[in-house]
Amino acid sequence: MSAPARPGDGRAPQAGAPVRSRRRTTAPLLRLLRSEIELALARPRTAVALGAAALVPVLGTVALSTTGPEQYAYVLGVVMVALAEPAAFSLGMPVVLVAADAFAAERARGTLDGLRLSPVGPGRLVLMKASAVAAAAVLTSAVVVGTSLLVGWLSLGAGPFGTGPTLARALLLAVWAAGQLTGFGILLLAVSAAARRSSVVVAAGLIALVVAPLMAVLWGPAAPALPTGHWHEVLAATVRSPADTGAAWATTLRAAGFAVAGAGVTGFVLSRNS
Amino acid sequence: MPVQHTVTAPPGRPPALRAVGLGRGFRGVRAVDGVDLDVPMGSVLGLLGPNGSGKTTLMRMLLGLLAPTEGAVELLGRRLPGRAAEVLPHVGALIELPAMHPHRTGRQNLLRYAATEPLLDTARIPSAVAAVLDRVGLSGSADRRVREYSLGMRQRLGLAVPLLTRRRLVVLDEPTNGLDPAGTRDVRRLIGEMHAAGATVVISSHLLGEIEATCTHVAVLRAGRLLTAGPLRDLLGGTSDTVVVGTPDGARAVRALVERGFDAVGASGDRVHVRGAQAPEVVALLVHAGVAVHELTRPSARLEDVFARLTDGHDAQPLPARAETWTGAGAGR
Repeated sequence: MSAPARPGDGRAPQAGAPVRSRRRTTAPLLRLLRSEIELALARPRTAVALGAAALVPVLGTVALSTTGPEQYAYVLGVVMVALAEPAAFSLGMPVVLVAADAFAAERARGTLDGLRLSPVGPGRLVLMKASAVAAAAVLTSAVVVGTSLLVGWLSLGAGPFGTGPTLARALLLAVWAAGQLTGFGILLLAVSAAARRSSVVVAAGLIALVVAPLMAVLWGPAAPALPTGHWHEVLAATVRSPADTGAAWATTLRAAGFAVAGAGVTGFVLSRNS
Repeated sequence: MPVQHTVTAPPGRPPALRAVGLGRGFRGVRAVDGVDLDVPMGSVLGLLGPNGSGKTTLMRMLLGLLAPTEGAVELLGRRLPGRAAEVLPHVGALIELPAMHPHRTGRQNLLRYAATEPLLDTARIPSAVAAVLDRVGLSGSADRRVREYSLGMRQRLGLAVPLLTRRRLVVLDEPTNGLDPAGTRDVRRLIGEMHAAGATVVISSHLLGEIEATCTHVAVLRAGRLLTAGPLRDLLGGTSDTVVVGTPDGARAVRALVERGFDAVGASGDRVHVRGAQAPEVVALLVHAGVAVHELTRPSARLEDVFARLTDGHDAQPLPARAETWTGAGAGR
């Protein structure tokens, strides 16, 4: 009795092979993205982190209406407080948690194997997880800026810009913040893809959010490469008249760089693992 | 050099699963070592082995979840990992404990798995999930969070995943783990249904009775090496060394046999079991002693006996130069 044919050595039977190559080999992308976003946002701890982030503008409103600088005691001032570098810790938490769940927690739970068996390839996995991070970033930004507008307006009023310009500037800041968080979150996906424990990703994310503002103060030249570097310039420029968007564009480009680097490293790590 | 065995597929049909020289080490320990295995299309193969024998590692490599350090795997005629995307939609699996998101309900977990199934149309997903929940007996608890499920319920939910679409190959690692007798019967029924629908099924289990009741083929692993593999009936049929004699005078028969050095014991009723004997010499001896012989049979060995004989007492010893083969299909390479 001979040994079994070595796969691919020409002796493996091809005729009558049962798998037809032209059948669909992967699920529709939009279905995958929707399923992933739903999973990421449905986690109770994501909701808790969003609630914590929404508390910052409330506290900011209280501070501005009592002891804060008078020139910022209006609704855009509340938005600035909620998106300022010291608030990055709470602002970034939902995105950090989603990034930690993306690969590290799924791997620890075993559900990542289910995705690989379906099969979902490395490229689609990166897209799925990046979309979940982006959704968390957009939702966080919307919740924080929305809460800031609601509470700030009711308590402090529109301020010097009037309703339309205030809403436009708040919208600009919301989009900018969502971009910053998305870039940072996708960069964290690379850590998640390599880590075996989600706590490693959470720790890495929180250290980056806490240390980055300190680093920017201690060593100015490092600021452009840090996740929260130059945020204060963007916020200050938004309340100038006319608004200056130069810093916003520069930091958005940086976030895009983070996203590209994060997605690339994540894809590389996943390809190696599979 | 390890001895390899195969369960040869019928000529002209590719095996559902083929492993060639498959090996994997972890920190200097050979978890799986030089496994050659062909699983014929349409069979139900039971993968047996003591704890730590490499069953799960082998299954993970067979599915492409773990890269082998040597050797190759082919599923349904397609080589992994290069053609995984073509073949994996046709393969269902449950490896180790069912992996689920505890904060989601059973239905939501299955909907997520269904969303990743290439062969399921989006419009059919809710009905497919409902149908499969019904099949595994979880319709009533489908909307409870998985963290509230018992181990048996999780196992059923895990089994629901391979059932989402019609598979050609299903790989189940300890599928009856945590199930009560009713659940075990249900799993046996589900495996039977998948087999009847044309799927090849590979199961690992510690429950030899389950394997015996469910499988058409068996492969035995020990210390990462494949000791034997073959059709279950050949494995059992050719291994009994006991002759059962039906006689109205059991006591005399035992006495006569023992006097001639046979290992004979009286069993219930009019039966005498004689170990290590050939039927003709037993008949000749008893007739010569004047003992009436009404019947003489050689019963099939139980899988438990075969498994114990293959795996007991070998843990610290090297493999024999040539392991026993059960059928003409078994081959040393």
